[in-house]
Amino acid sequence: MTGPGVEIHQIVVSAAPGDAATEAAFGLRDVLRRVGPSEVFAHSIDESLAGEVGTLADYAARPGTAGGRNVLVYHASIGEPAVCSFLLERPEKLVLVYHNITPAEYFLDVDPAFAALLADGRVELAALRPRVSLALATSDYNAADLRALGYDDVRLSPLPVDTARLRALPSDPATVAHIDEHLKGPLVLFVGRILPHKRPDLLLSAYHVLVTYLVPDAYLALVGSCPQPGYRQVLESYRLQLNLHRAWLPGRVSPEALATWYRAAAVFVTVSEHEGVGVPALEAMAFDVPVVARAFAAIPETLAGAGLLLPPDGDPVLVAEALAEVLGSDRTRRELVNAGRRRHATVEPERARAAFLAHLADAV
Amino acid sequence: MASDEQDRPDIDALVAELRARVAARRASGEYPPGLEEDLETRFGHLRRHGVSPARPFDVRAQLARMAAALPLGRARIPLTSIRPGGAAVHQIVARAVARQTEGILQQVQAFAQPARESIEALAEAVERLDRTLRDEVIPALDAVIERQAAAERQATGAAGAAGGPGD
Repeated sequence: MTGPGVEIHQIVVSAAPGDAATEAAFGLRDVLRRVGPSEVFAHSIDESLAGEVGTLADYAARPGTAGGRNVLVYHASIGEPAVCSFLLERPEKLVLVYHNITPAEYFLDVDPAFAALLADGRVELAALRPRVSLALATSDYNAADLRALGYDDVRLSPLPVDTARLRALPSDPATVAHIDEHLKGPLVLFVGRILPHKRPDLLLSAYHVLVTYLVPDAYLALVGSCPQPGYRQVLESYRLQLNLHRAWLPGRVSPEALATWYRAAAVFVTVSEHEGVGVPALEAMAFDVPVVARAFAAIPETLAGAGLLLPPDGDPVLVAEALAEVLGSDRTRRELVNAGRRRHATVEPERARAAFLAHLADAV
Repeated sequence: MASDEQDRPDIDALVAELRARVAARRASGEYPPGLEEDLETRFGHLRRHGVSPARPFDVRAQLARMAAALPLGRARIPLTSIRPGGAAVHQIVARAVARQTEGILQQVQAFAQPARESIEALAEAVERLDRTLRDEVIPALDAVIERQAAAERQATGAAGAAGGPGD
């Protein structure tokens, strides 16, 4: 596919465990290393990934990069002027993998600086367009968004979602102990970063309706990091005001703990209003957990009919009613689990990796 | 055994049924009027006005510092000096006013010791209250809310069985 000495490396803005772009880069790195040397580089790096991800300066200092014969695969999910400048100045061929950029409006009051980076992201994508040799999108929804930004030839390249690896993990003893001690009813699970566009507030409202009027012994876990401390505090206050002490926000967890939460869940729910793909829903299906979601962004194509998809206007009462239906009806539950199995069977990471390589071979 | 097609959930029909259930519960009063608006307003208020940041105050660490400062005593007053001969001067002055210093220290000690014990007792009381609130009051309150919700459901069910609006 590439000439001798040509290397394919990947760039992400912020490398962090659980971040969709970072996880995608790691998933593709495995297959790129079959072709030649391949590393992941980032503008900012979570300390837990310090040995695994290099800085942009590390890439520039890497032997053999001066001639510009390499290929850079850039995973776009947010803006960052330093990364954009770096990519504009580098001579390498540039491949874009678009994970979508969350609309900035969701963050204006919570984190204005973050909102500005999101807004920058769309401007930067337009600026990078003449530099991009190949534009890949991880869902049809993302492809349409990229076309709207002026990209003519956008190809679909699904994420290599490897649920088998997650399912094979042992349970985390501490999480098992917590669940054994405290969980005394069905668990409603959300997995994802706790961010405004994912509407954790709506989940708490729906859970309030669920336990007050429909399923009093239900529990809720919102599993994922909450990068904005102020927003987390607002959610905590809301949780306390509603006396939802059986709603848990355990924060970012290890892969083993995540697998444990999936194993304990009776239903998975997401009411997110913006998702480029929605990987946790696929993970839930892999664990035979029925999925309830709202029809926003890429969620309908990700579920592909295998979840209880509520209309986008779904209010907390309708969400609660849907959760109660899944928790209370064996038939609905069985149908959703079976549909999830069928949908999950079509998720083949190796095929996704092969498709990515094929696209890359065409362009490079 | 059902085939794959037979086992496929009819999501549209299910959503329509859920909507109908919501409408019925609203009509019966099981869902109080303005429920969603109330929740939205409550969260909106918190988000707009924020939450005053909780200032972490480690009362136990402060009590430990207080305990370490007691008992008061003349021996804890340093007599060293950076000036030549200064230490000798300090020792002479200390001996000269030893009786008065001791008297003051005894008075302060007489105040500080019970003050420390009182604060310690207060801290323990607050911690005990916090444990009681977490382990007993909140679960009890929750049980009451659950019983109330169950009673309301039962009442609504009875009204429905009698041909009421929840039917």
